[in-house]
Amino acid sequence: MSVELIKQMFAAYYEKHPPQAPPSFGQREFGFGSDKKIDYRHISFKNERDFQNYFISNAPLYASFSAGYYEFPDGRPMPKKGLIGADLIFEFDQECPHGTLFCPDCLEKTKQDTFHLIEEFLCRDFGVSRKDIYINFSGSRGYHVHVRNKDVQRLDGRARREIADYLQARNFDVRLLKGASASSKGWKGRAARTVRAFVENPEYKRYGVSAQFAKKVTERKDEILLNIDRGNYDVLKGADSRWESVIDSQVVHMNADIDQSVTLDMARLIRVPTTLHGGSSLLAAHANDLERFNPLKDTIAFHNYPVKVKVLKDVLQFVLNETTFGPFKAGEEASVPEYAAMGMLCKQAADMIK
Amino acid sequence: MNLRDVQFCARYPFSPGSRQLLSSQAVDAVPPELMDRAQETAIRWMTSHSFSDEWQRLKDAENESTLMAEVAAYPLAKLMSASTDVPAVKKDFGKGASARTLFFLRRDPDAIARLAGELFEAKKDGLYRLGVYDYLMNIPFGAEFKLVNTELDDGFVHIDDEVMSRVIAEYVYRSIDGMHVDKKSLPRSLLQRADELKRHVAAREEKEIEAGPIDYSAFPPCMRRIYQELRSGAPVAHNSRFVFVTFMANIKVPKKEMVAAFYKTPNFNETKTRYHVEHALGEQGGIKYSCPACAKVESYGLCFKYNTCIKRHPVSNYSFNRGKKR
Repeated sequence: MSVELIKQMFAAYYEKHPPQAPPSFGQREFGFGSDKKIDYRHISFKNERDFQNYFISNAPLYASFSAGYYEFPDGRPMPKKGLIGADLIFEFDQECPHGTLFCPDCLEKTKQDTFHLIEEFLCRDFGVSRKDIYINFSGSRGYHVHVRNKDVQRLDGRARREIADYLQARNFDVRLLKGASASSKGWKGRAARTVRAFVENPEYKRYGVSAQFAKKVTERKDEILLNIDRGNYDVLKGADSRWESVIDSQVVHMNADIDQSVTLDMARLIRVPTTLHGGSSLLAAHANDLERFNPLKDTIAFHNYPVKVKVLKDVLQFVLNETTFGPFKAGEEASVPEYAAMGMLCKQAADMIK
Repeated sequence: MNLRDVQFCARYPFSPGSRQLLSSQAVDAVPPELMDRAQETAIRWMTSHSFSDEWQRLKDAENESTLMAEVAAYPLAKLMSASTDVPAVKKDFGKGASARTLFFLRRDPDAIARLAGELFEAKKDGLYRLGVYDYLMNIPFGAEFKLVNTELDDGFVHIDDEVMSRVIAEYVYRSIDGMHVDKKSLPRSLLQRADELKRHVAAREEKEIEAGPIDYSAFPPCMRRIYQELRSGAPVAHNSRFVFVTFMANIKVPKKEMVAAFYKTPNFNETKTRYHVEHALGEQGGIKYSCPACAKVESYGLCFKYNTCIKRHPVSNYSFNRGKKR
């Protein structure tokens, strides 16, 4: 019942707001889903009108497109598609521990991770031009960063793994710290700056080291800093492994199994921006002005007029469109704006009352 | 081009200058002697990684026709290796060509700068400043060359002569390994000679993988880890299972033993496991899968302690480890 209703509402939305086809859509593979994120894939579109009509006719709850560009995007099995290249994509997705339907705190955390990736790594280290970076809100719990240019399109799987490893300082040789200074390049410099910052202010919890080690550092702070300025980082016995923990505080936090595979997998399908997310009712929106972007306001797709819902499970207080709703008890009937009702429906927390 | 340039092209026949040199010497048909030379070059590089004699021979060679033959033999040998449809031929030839390049460059520092400029537009100012994407597409194998351990800034890595030599050598390997040709466009004389390359690889593989008891302690770290995870009953991802089955198939583990390796996995189903094993062996779907090379295993995120591995393929590392223990 709910799924049918959601699809009707989505179809009505798409009729007024047809989604934009992603760049080079003729070379992309698309996948759609209602029961799952992707029920069927290997779909391609020849023109934007076909693409938009598909949404109006089928109102998929989830729409994804490929990172890869193909000669024959609807070819199957995969090798028959003829991979031409692929965007480089990073996903930041936060599993919310707070139990609320829409969590501004978790979304803020993924926003900060996204900033960290773009400013500290993509622009500073990799020299990626800001105009080649496209940020999209996933429509649910995080952000997708697409790097789109000729250089990244040619990268193979091994090169992409190397980038993912770099972002997480995997296999960083801590011995490189010897002789390093704040102005050293790459992780060597970042590690030097981080270790120095820790020694100057040894907040052990933030840097993931023991209180005992932090105490030792505090006691010998001046001596350690003097040595660090000379490129000597081993004043304290066995400090290397502790420095590794300190340096870890600077890595790009990606969920090892899920988020990373988005970067590595050139055949991966990822949410189409400007489409609705069936798990939230929010719009997967372009968020290039990330600083000002409010994922729980700028992505509201439905109306403000009140509708009645029957709450199916206990719902903690949540904020949407800068308005606070709830808390609600299971079985309760409530009147909420259509956008909030749709959010609750998509999260299977309520049904609409006709 | 002067003699020095021709000498350079003979030593580094993959260089853009070599292509230019050959295109200026258009011929109607490739003479059989040149085909023979290309075949001989391919086999020599595939089978022996000792290049001292070749270095001595080419260092001061002045006979232009001999040097030209050296330049022309390389693209033909490359075509031969790519036309075989046997990945191991391309890989063996690629490894030989790569090892030869590294051997030569270590004795020829001026050539490093010239090739770095010609291939990657990389300039030297104390260190080479190489575009990060060129580095990533030609990254040498080993922990010390990982991007995280390089000096990366504003889209460029800063590397020394030795690392640049390795990048160039890797470029040579990848340009051979990644080559695909349309066999229909190739002359029969070339394809016939290519068959000889296949026979060489088949003979070598047969020698490497002799029938015998499986030595699990000789597994490379990646396969040992998957095996240990399977034996511990931990859930193991599809990719890992598939790679592991192809590895076991390639080292000739009996089918029964392969199925038994999955015995402790959660939801173990012997019939299904047997089906998947037979599928990987090509008994079900018609496609026999080979164990992927280290680069691919690494791209799947399954490579561990690769700096302890000598070879570029898990099967080769297994053979190597087994040989060491004898």
